[in-house]
Amino acid sequence: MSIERQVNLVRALLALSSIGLAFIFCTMLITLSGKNPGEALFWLFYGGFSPALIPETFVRATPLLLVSLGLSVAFSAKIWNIGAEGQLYIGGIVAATLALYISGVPSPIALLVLIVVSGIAGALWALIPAILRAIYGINEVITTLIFNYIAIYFVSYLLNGPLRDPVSLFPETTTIPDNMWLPTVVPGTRLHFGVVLAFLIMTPIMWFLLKRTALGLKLEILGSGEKTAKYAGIESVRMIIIAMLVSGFMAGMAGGVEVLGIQHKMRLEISPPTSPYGYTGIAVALLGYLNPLLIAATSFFLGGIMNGSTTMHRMVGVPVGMAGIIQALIILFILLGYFLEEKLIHRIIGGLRKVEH
Amino acid sequence: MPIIELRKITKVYPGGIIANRNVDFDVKEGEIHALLGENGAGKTTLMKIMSGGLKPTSGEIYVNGERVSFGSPADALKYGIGMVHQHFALIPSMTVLENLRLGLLDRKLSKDQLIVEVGELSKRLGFDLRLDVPVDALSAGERQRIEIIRLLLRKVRVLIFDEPTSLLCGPEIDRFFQALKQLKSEGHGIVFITHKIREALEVSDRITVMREGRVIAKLKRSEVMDEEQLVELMIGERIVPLPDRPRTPSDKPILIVKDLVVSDDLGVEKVKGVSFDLRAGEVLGIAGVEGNGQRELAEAIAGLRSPKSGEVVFIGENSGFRPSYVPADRVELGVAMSLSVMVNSIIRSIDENSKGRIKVLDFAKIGEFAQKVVSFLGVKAPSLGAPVKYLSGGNIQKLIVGREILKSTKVLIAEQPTAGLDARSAEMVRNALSELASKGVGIILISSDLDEILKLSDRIAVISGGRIVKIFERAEFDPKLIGMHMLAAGGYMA
Repeated sequence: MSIERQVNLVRALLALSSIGLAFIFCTMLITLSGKNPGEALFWLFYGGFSPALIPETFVRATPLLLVSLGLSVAFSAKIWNIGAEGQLYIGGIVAATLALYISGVPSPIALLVLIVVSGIAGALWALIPAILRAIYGINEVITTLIFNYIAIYFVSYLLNGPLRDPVSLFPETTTIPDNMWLPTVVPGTRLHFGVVLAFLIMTPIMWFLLKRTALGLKLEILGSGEKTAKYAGIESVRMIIIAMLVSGFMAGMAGGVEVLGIQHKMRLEISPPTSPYGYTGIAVALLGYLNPLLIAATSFFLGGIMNGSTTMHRMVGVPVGMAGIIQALIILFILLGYFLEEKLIHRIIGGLRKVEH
Repeated sequence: MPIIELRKITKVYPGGIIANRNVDFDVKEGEIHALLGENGAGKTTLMKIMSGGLKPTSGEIYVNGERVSFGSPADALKYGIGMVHQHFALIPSMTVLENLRLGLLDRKLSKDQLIVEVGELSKRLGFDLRLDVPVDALSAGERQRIEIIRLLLRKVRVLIFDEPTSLLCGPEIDRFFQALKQLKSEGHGIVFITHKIREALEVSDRITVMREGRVIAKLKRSEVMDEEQLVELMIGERIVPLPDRPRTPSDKPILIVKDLVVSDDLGVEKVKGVSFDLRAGEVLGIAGVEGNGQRELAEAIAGLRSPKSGEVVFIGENSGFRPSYVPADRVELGVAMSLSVMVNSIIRSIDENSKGRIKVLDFAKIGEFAQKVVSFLGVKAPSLGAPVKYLSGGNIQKLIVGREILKSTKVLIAEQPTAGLDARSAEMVRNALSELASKGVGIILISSDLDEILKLSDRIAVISGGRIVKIFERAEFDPKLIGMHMLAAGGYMA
């Protein structure tokens, strides 16, 4: 068996066993909280993956996927953009506001413009941390994180102040006119054009960008070390800025698509508080090995768990907080699997290597 | 009776590779025993088994005639067997003293007792350890001395050194050999793993030669006739010597370096006004004691470091031209460790290997080139898709050298191109460089191996203290004279 085959086998086995372990722990926790674990897990899966509810899982997974596709680009270069949440909020508020102004424009053109502009807004929000990192070497983890707070509180101010719908009880914008809604793709479901955009258009594009183009390779080389990148003749300043802008664009677009496709207005809870898209996307990107195809699968899986845990809460009364814990456990165990993976692979290949000395 | 004896050791790695086949080996009191062999001969594996780092698949270990088995290096230490690995096991951010305390295991010593004991050991061995300095501020030689002291604090009787001179420079090697002789006179048994024949002959009392996992010969020092004999045993066949090619470099320079001044990362001026030209089809050797500005010079010419002043001009090329460059720092600079062999073989020519406006990677072309690189110097890799981190150091070096030679270029800078390679691979690299020059490529060869420079170069520029102190034409080559220039003018700084 070739080395790659062995490595992939180890990965697959570890992924399955870590998900299994996570569920064993979930079972214990649910039992401790005094609920029937069998029933709870049934509703968890029913809510996430039963045929009738699968469209909803796709809807839930869409912003998650867009965010994590973008992050995979930055993370490939080991640029740790933690700011997707803020970039998503900026994209969302820009889309909702602009949609109210251009509602006279023919729908397909307007929607295309809105999606692109929300992406650009997210990218611009990432630009300052990008420049600080690329030129001045200031740690992007800190700046992007700070920019999240700035973005979210700024949006909160707008929603409570100038952009607030005067007749609504909640801090949110006016509902956008329905010609500015992303069209539904499958009648009778909430599957909107954004789902198609994320799964069928952006996923292959990002896969191609990362795995098949010179740009993707240069990002990966930068990720494996700035010295090597310099030796390879890669302009790291340019690459860092590109990586940040692409990930900001995708996060902004996630916000825009969520507003245009589902919420039809900008709200403060555009990102679910128990598992915010911008942060959960970090886990999704890492769990998907920064490979857009795996990321699409992971988004779908986590989207299902997110929806399913709400169902579990409603049907069995497992507290909402518990749902959050279960999601976190799954992520934690999968990450643990990663840690073991490095060791196991080293074992497999260690033999080959040591004999050279 | 030997202190430790290995009998019929066989080691099969998972994956079926046999590293040791029925090997017998022993170490006696008060001897230096050289274990000689090429990369991959199984030397390190055998010594890891002897020091508890690996378990043999079959075979027996005897200490003082008593059968033992080691579960870990700590077990072996209890029996007085310790190993200094090629890559030191010290914590860089901690001081020397702290590192020594960490290694004590179950020996209870107060800080004062420890300082006294370290002081005594250092005095005997002629070391001058600075105890309160963090290890990362120390040279490789100093780190090695810490490792030795650490083993002696644990009262070992057998010390195993894996390629101990590979990281040391000239004078440090001498100091190391003196320490070895002192240890020997105190009755310690010493194993010295190496692929450098001259060093084995210089210090050892016995030489065991390994090849492809087997012991080929066991010789007393007095039984060795000459180096040739050992070379033959090590590689099993005669090296084809370099042809005495009367190379005819053209008179036209293809590279002009003028008044170049370059600083290192800390802003210290390392190259202090260097001028020379390189002609097409010539090998210009740069000889010097390591640390006299060679690296900064190479990086400036390669375009990786901007000079403070001066010029580097490639004749007939546009300003973005980058020569081929084999860096001395292969892991940090030369390869992306987590990426595949395939990708690493085109890491410096990505754009040339992609098509169209969006630059789609041309994997057919890349795969073909990677295959060429791998077969050129015989890189041992699990597959083209395997990450480079799974390759051994010598194979990474072969990958880099092969890549830079095969890439079409007019100028090649080769910094320590044969460092860490076994005799046969080193000779292959030298032949390849020579052939490249006869095709009209200008080569700058920077090496701490003077023999190599003498053999390959058409001219030799001696660098000392950041300046070129003299350029010798081939007719004037004289190792002694060149050596004197290397050390002249305060040249020794490392």
